Amino acid sequence: MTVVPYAEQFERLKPALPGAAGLREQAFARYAAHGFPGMKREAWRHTKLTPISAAALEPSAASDVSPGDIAAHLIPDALTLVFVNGRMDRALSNIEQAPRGVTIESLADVLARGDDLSPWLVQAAGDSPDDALVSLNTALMNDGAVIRVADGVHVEAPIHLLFFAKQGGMNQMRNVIVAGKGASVTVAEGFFGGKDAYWTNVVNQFFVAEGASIEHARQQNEGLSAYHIGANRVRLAQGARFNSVAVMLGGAVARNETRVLVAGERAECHLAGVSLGRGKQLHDSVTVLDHAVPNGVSDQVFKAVLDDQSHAVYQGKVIVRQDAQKTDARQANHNILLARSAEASSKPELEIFADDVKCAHGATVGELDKNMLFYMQARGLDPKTARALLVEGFVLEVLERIASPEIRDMFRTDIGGWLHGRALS
Amino acid sequence: MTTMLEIKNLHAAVDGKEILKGIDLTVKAGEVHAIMGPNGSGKSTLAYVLAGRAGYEVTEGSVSYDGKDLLEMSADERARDGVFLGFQYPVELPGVNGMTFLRTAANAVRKHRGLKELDGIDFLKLLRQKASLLEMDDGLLKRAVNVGFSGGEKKRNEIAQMAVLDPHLMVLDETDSGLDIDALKVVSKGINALRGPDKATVLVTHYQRLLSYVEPDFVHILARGKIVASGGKELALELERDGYVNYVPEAA
Repeated sequence: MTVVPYAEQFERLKPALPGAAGLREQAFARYAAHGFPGMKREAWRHTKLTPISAAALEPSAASDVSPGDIAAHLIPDALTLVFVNGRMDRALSNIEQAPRGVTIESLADVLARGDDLSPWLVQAAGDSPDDALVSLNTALMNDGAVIRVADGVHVEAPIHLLFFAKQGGMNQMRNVIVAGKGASVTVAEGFFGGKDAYWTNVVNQFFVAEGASIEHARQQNEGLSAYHIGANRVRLAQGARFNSVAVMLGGAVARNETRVLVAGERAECHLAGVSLGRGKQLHDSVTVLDHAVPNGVSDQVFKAVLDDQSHAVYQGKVIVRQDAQKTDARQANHNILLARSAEASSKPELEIFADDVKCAHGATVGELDKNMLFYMQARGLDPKTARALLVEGFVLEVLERIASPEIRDMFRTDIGGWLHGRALS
Repeated sequence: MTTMLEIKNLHAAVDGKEILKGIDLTVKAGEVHAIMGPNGSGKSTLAYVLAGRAGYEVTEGSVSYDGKDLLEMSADERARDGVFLGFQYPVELPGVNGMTFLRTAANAVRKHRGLKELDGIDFLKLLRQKASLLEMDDGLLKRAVNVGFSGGEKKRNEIAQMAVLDPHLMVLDETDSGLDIDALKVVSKGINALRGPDKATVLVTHYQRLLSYVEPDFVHILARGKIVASGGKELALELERDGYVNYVPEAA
């Protein structure tokens, strides 16, 4: 009899995992029914997972990170939670100053003290084989952040979740963010890692109550041998708003999947992504926008700049259910290839069951525009500088969707470093 | 006066089709030359060849600029060395901030001239000074270059760039096209403010209108890839009255 990958680890590790024993068993059973999603699954067909399914990774061992190591990644005046190799590092975190009406805790703490988060946690995964790694995450989740913002509370300071991977192995992270009615909060994530091959499997759940707003910014700059599988699950109540910008720079194979349920009328969802690829990186951006009720608005802009033999994928599905009249859903995907050997795949998908809706999508793949380059050269810019400015401009258009200037600047610095390292000539 | 630009027997082709068929033109420092001609005569091709656009292949002849072989220089080298092309259709650069773009360009030119590169604050000072000279506000430069600008705003932006880059040879390709009378006055004022004894201007234009505001020293008529007549500003007035019929019979 064949055993699904990670069955042995789960049996051995589960006594020591924090809380939620029953939920973990159920989730593992769901995962085990399907195993790792194979490349025959449409939604996973570019994401080759065999290196991590076959590797039988163990949870990463502990290692030291000093304040100096993280200084460059901090957002000024943020409430910061630092996780090193999958565990919260209290000394490096500063969440004691959380304002009234906001609780920020370690998931391991919350589960260990027996709080029942399962009403939230079970909503992350269905029975679909595409959700198997989210179920595996529920089974193995080790730590993460639980952020709860009370009704009507506006959190000024961004809440910053910083994940450092300094060892090989796996990090199973789970973050739960709940914004109460009329509340607003900014949540940023940053992923950084070393040279070792490791696997980050991270699941974020965002619950945005009536009239609430979440600003989400994600910076994925994992090590170049890393596997990063990120899944975001967003539920929007009436009049709720979710605005997300995700930047992908790192990883050997990196996926950022966002599934949004527009459950309340007049909710708004803005999803944006930038992927910068080099070497043989694969960056897979997957979205599913499920408009279940009328008068919802969603727009998506995903861009990629690809060098060498890198490959970026955008798979964006919009579902407009029968009741979801007057939905306005837009998708755009634009790619610039810096090398002939780079590849972009674009797959917008529409499933529309309502008759009075607006749905638009557009996709482009190309090289840098020759007219633009000549115009810049005619002003004295050498071709390399001109290319760098054009690529930066292409990307900055997306970063402008980030409301916080501090976060925008930090992302910009990261991107500037990437461009500087490219031979854009 | 020293010769700034000397074009001899210039032939140029685009996609294998010869457009310029033997142009001779000498421009001295301090002079303003207008190149006029009907559509398709090769005016814009001449401007692009001078600026060094790829795809505009010089098949015969020579162009010297300040005694150097202009055709040996890349487009960006020419710009840094003081050749400025004002575009008929300025190009939009999405996401590229106008201030960043112009400062990068200005510093590339300054570096080439052995001048100190400007930091953000010094650049802003220079910009304000040039903008007040041209009676323009610098608001446009806070946006992405030319994106969402009206036709007039794009042309004013070209002149603002020109003022900051301080070129020696200004080649302005149909800068008057698409401008209403107020914009034309602002743009002309800018061009006039940048005239000087050590600078030269080549105005490429279809109409005489611009020349009422920027007075040329010489007017040349370009037809079917050749200069068919040269004269003073009265030539432009003649064209305004009679059209190109005396020079290009089929234009009647």
